[in-house]
Amino acid sequence: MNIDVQQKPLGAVLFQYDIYPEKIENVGKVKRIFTANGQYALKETTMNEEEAHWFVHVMRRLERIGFHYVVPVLPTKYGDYIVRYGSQTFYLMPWYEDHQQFRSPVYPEEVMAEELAKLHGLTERTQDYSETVLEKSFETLKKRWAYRKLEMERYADKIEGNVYLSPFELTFLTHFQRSIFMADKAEEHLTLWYEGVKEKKSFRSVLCHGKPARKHTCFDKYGTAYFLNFEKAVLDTPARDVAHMFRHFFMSRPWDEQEGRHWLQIYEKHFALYDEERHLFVSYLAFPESMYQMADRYMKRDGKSTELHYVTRLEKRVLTLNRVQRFMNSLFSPENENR
Amino acid sequence: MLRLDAVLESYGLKEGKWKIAGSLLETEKGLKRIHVWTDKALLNWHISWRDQLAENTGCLTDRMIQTVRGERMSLCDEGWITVHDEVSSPFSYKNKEKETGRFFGKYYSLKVEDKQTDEDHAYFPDFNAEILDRKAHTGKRDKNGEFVEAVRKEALMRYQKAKRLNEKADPAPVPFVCPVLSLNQARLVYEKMYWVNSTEKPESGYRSLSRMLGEWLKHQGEKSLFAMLDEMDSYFPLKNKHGVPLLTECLLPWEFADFIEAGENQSFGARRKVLAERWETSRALVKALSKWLDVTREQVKV
Repeated sequence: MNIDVQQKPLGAVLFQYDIYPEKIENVGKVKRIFTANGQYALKETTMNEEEAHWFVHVMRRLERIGFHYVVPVLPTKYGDYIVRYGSQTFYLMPWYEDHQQFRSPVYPEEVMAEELAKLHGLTERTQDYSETVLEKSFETLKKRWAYRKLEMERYADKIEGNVYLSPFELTFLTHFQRSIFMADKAEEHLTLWYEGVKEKKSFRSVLCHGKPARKHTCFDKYGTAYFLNFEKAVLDTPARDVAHMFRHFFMSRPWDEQEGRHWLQIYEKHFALYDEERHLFVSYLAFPESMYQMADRYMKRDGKSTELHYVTRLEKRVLTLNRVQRFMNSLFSPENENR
Repeated sequence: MLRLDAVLESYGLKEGKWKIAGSLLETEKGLKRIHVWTDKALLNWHISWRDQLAENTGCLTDRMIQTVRGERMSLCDEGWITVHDEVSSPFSYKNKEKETGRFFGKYYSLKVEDKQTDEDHAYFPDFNAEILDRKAHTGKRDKNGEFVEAVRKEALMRYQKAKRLNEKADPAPVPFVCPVLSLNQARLVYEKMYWVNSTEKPESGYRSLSRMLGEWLKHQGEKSLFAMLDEMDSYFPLKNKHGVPLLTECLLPWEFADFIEAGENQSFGARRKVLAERWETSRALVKALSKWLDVTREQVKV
C-alpha cells in the first residue's frame, strides 16, 4: 500500500531525518521508505519517557560494546534516536531485507542461539547479591504460579460438573493432570535455582533482548542474523531470554529433545549457563502457561473462532509440553548432569 | 568569509551553493540557514534552549543540525557556525488558539539552566525612569515640544500606575527565555508548527511576552486572545502568578523611552507615527488583559 508523505505525522517525522521519500509502504508495524539514497524502515511504537530513554541507552550501549548483530537505529539530523509526535514514538532504521533462502545451508535457530549468546556474553554483569531481592523474585513467581494453578483447578472442577463436555473441555481435562505435574516440576526447578543462588551468594544479569524471535530478526543472504526491536530489552537473567527464544522455536516448527539440546549446546558454546540458571531456564519452560492461556481464551471466546480452532491450538500446546518434559528429562539425565 | 567546501564537508552534504553568501545555502537536503556565533556561552545556551523547547512542546524548531562527527557546531575563523533548516511557509494562527496557547505556555515556563529555579521573585523591569523627568526634556517650546511634554505626562502616569500595581503583585518565578521578536517566527512544516528562534541573548522577564500578546490582539482580535490565554494559563499560570507582573510590563511606557532614544536618527514625524501605533497597541492590550485577568484591585487605564 502506498502512503502519502503529506499525511500526519509522517512528513513531520521524516523532516527530522532529512529524508525525502519517493514511495512509502506499510509492512506490518513498520513503514518501508523508498528514497533516492536507499530504503529505510520507520517503526512506530508507544513508549513512555522512561522506556524511551532506556531504549536509546540500550542502542547506544550495543554500539559501544561492538555488538554488530543488530539493525542499527539511525539518529535524526539533530542527533536524537527517537522522534515523538503526540503520544506516538518513531525510530528509523536502514531497511534490511529478510532472507529465507541462503547461499549456504543455514539453520536460523542455530544462528539466533549463537548471536543471542554473544549478546549475553558481551553484556554479562555480576549483580550485587541481595537475599531480600532474591527471595522477593522467588516468592513473587511462586505465588503467581500457585495462583494460576488454582485458577485452572477451579476451571477443571467447574467443567467436570458439566453433563456434556465440549471437545475443548474434554481435551483440557484429559491433559490437566499432566499440566499440574509440569507446574510442580517448574516449581521444583525454581526452588533449585533459588537454593543454588543462595549457596553461591551471587547471580548475574545480561542485556536480554526481551523478545528474541524470528520476526525480530533479519537474515542476510549469507545467513547472518541481525536482531531488531529492542523495545522490551531489559537487564535480567540470561535464562529469561533463552526461555523466550526456545518457546518461540517450539511453537514455530516441529522439534524433538535432541534438537532442543543441540540449540542449547550452540548457545552454551558461546555463553554457558550456570547450573542454577539451567534450572531457572527449565522452570520457565516447564510451567504450562501456554496451555492455561488457551483455557483463558476459550473462556473469553467471542464466537469468532471455531471449536476446532481452540482444540487444535490446545493440542499443539500439549504436544509442546510433552516435548518440553522429554527435553527437561534429557537435560537433567545422569549423563548430562556430569557434563 | 565561510568556505563552502568546508561547510559541506563538515555537515556531510554532497551538493550546495550559496543563495546568500555566508548565510543561506541550497543543498540536496533543502535550504539551510547558517548562523555565525562569536559568543560560545550564548551558543551553548541556544543549543540547550532549542533542544528542550522541542522536547517540551513537541513542536519542531530550528535546532542545530549536527555535523558528521555528531557535533552541534563547527569552528570557523569568526567563531562557530551552526546550520539550521530554512523554512519559509508561514504558520497561520487562525483557529489555532489551543495549539498556540499550549506552545507559548510551555515556552514561557521552560527552564533551561540549572541555576533557574522555581523560586518566586518580586519583579520590576529595568526601566529608565529618568526619561520621564521633565528636566530631561528642555527642548524648544514649539508644537513638537508640546507633544513630547504631553506624552511625557501620560507616560509618567503609566509608570506610576505600573509601580503601584507592582507593589501589590505576588512574587513569581520570572521567565527566562529566548525573546520572541514577532509572531512571524512560526512557520509551517507538514501541518506542524516550526518555530524559528531569534539569536538574541536570553531575556529575563515579560517584555517579549507583552509584545507577542499585543501583536496577537492586533491581528487576531480579543476573543482569539482570550482563548489563547485560557489555554496558555494551564501551562504558564497567568491568572495566579504571572498576570500582574505581565500587566506591569505592559503598562510601562517603553514606546516613549524608545521614541526618545531614537533621537535625531529619524525624523520627528516618523518617530511620532511609530509611537502612536505602539501606544495604541499597549492601550488595547492593557485593557484586554485587565478584562481577562479581571483586575479589580485597581482600575487600570492608559
